[in-house]
Amino acid sequence: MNALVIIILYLLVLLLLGWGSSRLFRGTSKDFFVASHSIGPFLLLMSVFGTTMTAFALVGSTGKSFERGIGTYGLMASISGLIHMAIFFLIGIRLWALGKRNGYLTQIQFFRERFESPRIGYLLFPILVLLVVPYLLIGIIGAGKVIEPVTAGAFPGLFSNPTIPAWSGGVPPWLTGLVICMVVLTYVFIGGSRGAAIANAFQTVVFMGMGIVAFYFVVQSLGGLEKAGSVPMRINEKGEMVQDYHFDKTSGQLMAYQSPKKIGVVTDFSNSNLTDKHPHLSRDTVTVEFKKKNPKTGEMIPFEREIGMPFITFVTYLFIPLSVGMFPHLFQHWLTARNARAFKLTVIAHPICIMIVWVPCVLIGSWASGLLPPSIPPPAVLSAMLSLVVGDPLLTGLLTAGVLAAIMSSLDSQFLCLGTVFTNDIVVYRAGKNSISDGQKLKIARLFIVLIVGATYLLAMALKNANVFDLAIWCFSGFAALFPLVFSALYWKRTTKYGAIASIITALITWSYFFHQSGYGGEYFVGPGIVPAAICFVASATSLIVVSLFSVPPAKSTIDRFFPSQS
Amino acid sequence: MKIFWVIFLALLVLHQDFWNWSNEDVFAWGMPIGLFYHAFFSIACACLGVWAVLRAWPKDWENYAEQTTDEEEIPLNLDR
Repeated sequence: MNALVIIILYLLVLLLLGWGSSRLFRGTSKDFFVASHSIGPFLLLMSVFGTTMTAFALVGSTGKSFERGIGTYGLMASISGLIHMAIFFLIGIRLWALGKRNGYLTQIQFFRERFESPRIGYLLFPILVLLVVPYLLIGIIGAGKVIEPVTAGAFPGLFSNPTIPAWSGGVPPWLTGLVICMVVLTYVFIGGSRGAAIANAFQTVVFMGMGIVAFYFVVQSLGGLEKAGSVPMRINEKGEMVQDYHFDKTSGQLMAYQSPKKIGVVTDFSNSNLTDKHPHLSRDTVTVEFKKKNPKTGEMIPFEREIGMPFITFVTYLFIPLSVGMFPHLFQHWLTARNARAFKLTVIAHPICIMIVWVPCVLIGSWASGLLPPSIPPPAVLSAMLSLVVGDPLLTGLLTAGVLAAIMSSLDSQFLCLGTVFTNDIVVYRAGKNSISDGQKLKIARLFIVLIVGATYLLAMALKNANVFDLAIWCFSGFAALFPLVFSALYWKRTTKYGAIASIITALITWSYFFHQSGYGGEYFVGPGIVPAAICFVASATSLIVVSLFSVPPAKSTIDRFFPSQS
Repeated sequence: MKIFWVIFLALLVLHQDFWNWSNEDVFAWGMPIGLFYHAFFSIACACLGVWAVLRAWPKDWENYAEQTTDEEEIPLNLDR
């Protein structure tokens, strides 16, 4: 119950912030869409960081490290620090400058003019929406999955139809999703992009802080960093995967087993060098067979897991973070900047912020491999570790608020972005800029945001059992496949309309093919472990270059306009 | 900008630290070397950010954006 009270308090603070930001609202559509270009360095850093980090930053990173080990940090976090920083510096500032000078509010407005093609907007609009909507679903489904176990037993008479019997009395996912959507809708509806930026900043501070708090308590309970470092599961001389420790809840201490507990078997133990290795502490790949209980029959069934990661996967994963260059909601955040100097703090501090959030979570995930049963679902690892080694409902409530903060700080920007794109790129564009008043634009945007929130909520409830984190990687892959479009638009004068269209169509075809091959959302690698985004990116870039070279170059006036410093 | 690209590409190469691949030694603060290296890598990325802001700042783009006030923005002008 304590946990629920903290979560409710947290949501009330968000509503209060939304009300506060609405007092700063200037009543214009430009203020609603891009905060009248008034956001300073700190708010820009917090809102950009909060938007790029979803629930995956806390829950998913811990779960992924539990599965694959500490290589998770290099695979997803440190490379994102480098690529994101470079994108903010090389792309963000240029797009902000062009957007401010030319009055752009959306990516599509920029691409239409840069590529001298109104039609390119109609091609891009459904693709961007198609990629943002699953991203929204991740947040709503993820929130439902987090809250139900945390509140289990709180309302035994009220909620008697839980997802699994152990969560009886917990707040059901439909209610969590509904409350989250209503809170986000409220502060976006009344505060627009400034409301989202202020709420994002608060939420980013909360989820960064909660990650550190969780880490501190776990380390204390495990007896310090050195001791915790010896906890991950180990391979013994027989090729068995064993756990050397267990956590005694009565004494609140880490205790060594008299004889290590066997939890799995290495499938290929011909390599005796594996003896006494902790595979979660390096990146060598080891396949292990574990067992889990079938919830229906009670029978123990085997399942395999690859710990570590193939080198080719590690290398090709660098294409995934390129996605931020094409996030339409991030484009909108960039445009809120007061001036170019506001980007300086984001360029410098973004990699550090990633480190602050990810390093503790990755460590907790690898330690959890030596204490939790291997069959536990990866998204449940962080809360299970806290429940096992800390067991304080107050802390659980705070951490849950942190996870919700990470989720909602992405949701708000995406809802706002879809409203902005629909209003400006479809309605205003079709009707003509001068035929719709500023007040009408505001009304249309707000109406569309309400509709998209409703539609997304219903879709999330229909797909509530989807594996949300695998879905996230597919969204990122799609945006990464479109990255050549934005990079060439800013750095290659010779890029043509037909090159751009070929690039978009190639990205769509290759992404759709691999998405189909994955079974519509599962983890999927090509050949020896190549990430599909790498192939989609190369295909998209190649078609852009080839078709551009064989088509008529853009007009000189267009080049002069989009490459002002060199003209 | 050339220096930025050179350092960026060097960091991309350094990110593929195959020399730490099998090493599970604990380096400092209970962190295995593979994780410590990449945490340090994040700090190196921030240092590149500092360098970019101080030495390669796109002043021309900053000036370009601030030549006009919001009220004087060039309107969208595509034929519909």
